[in-house]
Amino acid sequence: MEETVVLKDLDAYKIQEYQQNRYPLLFVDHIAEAIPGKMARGHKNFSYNEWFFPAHFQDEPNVPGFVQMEALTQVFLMTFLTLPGNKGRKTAFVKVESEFKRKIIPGDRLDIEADLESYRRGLAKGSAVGKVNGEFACQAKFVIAIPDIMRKYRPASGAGGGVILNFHNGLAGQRKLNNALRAS
Amino acid sequence: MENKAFSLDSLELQKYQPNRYPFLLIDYVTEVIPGVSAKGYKNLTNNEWFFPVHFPDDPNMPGALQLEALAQMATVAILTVPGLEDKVVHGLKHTVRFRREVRPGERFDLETEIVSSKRGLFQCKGIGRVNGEIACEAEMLLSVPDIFKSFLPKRSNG
Repeated sequence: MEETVVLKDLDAYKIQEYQQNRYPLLFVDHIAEAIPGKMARGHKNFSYNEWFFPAHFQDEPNVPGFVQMEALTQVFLMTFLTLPGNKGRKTAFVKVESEFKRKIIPGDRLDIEADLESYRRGLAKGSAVGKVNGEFACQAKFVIAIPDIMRKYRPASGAGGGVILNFHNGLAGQRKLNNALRAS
Repeated sequence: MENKAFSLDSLELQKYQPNRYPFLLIDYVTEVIPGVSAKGYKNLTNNEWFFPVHFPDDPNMPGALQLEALAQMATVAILTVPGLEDKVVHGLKHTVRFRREVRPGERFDLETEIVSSKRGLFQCKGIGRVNGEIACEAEMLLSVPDIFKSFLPKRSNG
């Protein structure tokens, strides 16, 4: 018989053990409940004392869409970073589809519920919904990767050893790719 | 003088509160009766400048900032009095008692009242709560120097 693990009441400090987002890009405050491999429920408080409000916008402070998207994402991360072996791993977006329905202002609290549809080979698919005072505010569908794990499942290329494209490497990466292509 | 209660959002309250980001420590004034009282709250979130450093392994709101939040709320009660909108408010003396930590993700409810106001001196009381539990209590003496100075005795030697 398999026992369902339920994580409850994760505070700011514990959340940061599971995921690597840090101030000023940490957009979740509390996880009320997380069932690894299934779902997570949490919230983010919005306060005027956040860096984006004075700039977005000066005469009408409201939460930028990307911050809402990131808050949804960071709760979603808790659905699969809580699985054995994933704690504290870095993640990367593969695909996001988001939708915004309501203006969120300083003083609001965004309650988020995230569901994991599937998790295989370092690739997570799922969705999250955000509400303010029970009113629908935003939602998103995600495909998110844990690159460290996903790399292990990449097929080896003819060059022997598998070339991983990394555009951040700039010229060096390009040279590596060219060599690989020439060798194959 | 009318003493009607009204509410102010984070933009409107900046008309009566000169502090700005990153030192504006109130988000919403739910009820203010000019010259009498002001209630409201501040939301606490990880995305604030003081949490990563106070403290890295145990984020909680610095006591000085809790006091500041209460003082800012009391200032709204003072500056909403007609004719005082543009005045400067100074703190003269505060006594605070802290009872509970205030953490990210919580809502810090602020309740302040003006106990007495004479000659530009305002004696205020404030209580900060989290989930109905008292987090801190403060007695504050605030002044509006513009008014206060007009009551000071003149110096004899000019």
